Amino acid sequence: MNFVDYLFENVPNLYKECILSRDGTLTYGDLIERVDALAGDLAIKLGQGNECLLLAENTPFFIIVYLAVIKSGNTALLVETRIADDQLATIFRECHIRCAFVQKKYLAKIPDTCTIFTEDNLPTPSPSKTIEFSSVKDDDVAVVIFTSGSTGTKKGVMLTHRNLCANTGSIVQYLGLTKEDRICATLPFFYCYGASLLHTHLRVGGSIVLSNNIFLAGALRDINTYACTGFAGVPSTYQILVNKTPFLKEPLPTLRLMQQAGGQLPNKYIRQIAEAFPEKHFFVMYGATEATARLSYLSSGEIHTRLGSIGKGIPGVTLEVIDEKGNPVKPGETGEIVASGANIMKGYYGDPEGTQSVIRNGKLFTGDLATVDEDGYIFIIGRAKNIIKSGGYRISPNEIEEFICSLDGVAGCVVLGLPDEIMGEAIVAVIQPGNTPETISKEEIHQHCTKHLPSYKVPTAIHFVKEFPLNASDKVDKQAITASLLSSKQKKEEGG
Amino acid sequence: MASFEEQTIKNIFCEVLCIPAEEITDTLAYNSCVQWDSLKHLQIVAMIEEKFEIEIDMDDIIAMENYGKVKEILHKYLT
Repeated sequence: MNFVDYLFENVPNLYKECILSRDGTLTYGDLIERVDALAGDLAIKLGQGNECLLLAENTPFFIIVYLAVIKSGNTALLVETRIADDQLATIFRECHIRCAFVQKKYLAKIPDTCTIFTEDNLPTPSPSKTIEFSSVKDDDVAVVIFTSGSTGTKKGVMLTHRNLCANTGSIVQYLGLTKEDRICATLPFFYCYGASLLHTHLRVGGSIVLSNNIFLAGALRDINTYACTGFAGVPSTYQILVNKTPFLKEPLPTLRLMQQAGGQLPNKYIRQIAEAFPEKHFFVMYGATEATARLSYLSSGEIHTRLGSIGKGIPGVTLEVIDEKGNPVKPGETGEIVASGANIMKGYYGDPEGTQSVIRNGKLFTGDLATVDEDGYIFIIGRAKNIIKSGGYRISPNEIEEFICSLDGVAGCVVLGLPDEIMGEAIVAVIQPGNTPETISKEEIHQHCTKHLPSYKVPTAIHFVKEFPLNASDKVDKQAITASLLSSKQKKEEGG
Repeated sequence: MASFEEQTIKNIFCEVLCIPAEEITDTLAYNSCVQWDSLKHLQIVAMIEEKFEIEIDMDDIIAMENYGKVKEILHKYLT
């Protein structure tokens, strides 16, 4: 079944408000009409099975194009709006992009070698035209989401119509979403978690508020203005709300449930939020782009008794923690989280080897290390994948390390993510200067970084060391560096 | 509390957004400036608060959507 047909199966009525924002409202009727018009146009002009790049913020333009591309039997390639130019160039080189749909403000990023559409030149609906769409196979790729791999290059996660339907249905079920639900969406739709908000609320005939604010506190206003029932955030979302806004004191009377995923929110915040809103549901969840979005959840009733756990597998997903021999670990032992279900991706775009390294015997090896308790609740204790999660972005340290190492006067560099009250993790660079330390200063390194890296990849702190500590296998011991940075930070805080 | 000084505000914008001073005009806006995102906004606000030793109200932080508005709002705090 085409994923878009699945999404629109439960439309309550065509006049119901579907997408709301400061710029206006789209009813289900408006949205379906515009999606069908564009999908029809694409089916005629492109046919099926082509790749269409989409680069936009959360706007009606994004939603219409995204759904139309999928509905027409083509594949939507989603990239983040802050993608570095060289990474976008690689995607254009390695994919077969027939056309690009780009929000005007990002036009300068796109090479003029392909057909480009912006919000100004989308085809308009013509009422007389009815188009018969050819059917898609469940295994056809509907969406490719480009996510940061541990090597720094973007990996294209191929999601099929089946993957998307399965994960959407499962999330709707465990969250108990209905047509009365209205989500305040601050997370970008080009990110699997953001996309899941769009999918699930369309599926139940609910509504989506595009909350694009300069400051997250604006989302609190939007929740009240639009009477939202749901909110979703990554760790930094909640950390900013708790630390920088009156969030915990707001009554938010319409809000029924909050979702948290995209990394581990420190327990103290989970506790604070759960205590501030005892009557609201707070779901802690875990997932991966490779699993369409969601893999596990912990419901609000279990927050206090299983604090710090990611819960158990969502409906339709088998989640196990296994040891090196492939056997489930005993309570207290450590293993890798492995998942199976209809939501596991088809593979990485153009990378069969990469796919084989994470999907074996139909199971997704997440690379996340965890333990289980006596009742089977999973607790993550470390990420095998070398990824920093900062401000909602997934960042590969390798890429930043390589860049800094390429500078004159730098002998070695290690980039780490340290716990940060606002960003979730802050990017810290530890640098071993060349023979003459004076040749490059911290300020110069910082300037080079701001000039050449996207802003969210620029280290917030730079430290110089004479020698890196090494571990047993003579590799730079990142854990030892992290521990020493954390202890000196603690001493500083205690002293000051 | 320090007094209103536009050059200081401009320098903060240049530093955080990594754009040259001549591009920082009153019409420079969050909506159209690719570099100015919500995380950068938090950083700008934090630096302004530190430099001028003030605390900006939440409603004002939300309203600071273009450079002209930022100056207008800061005038309120600094005069």
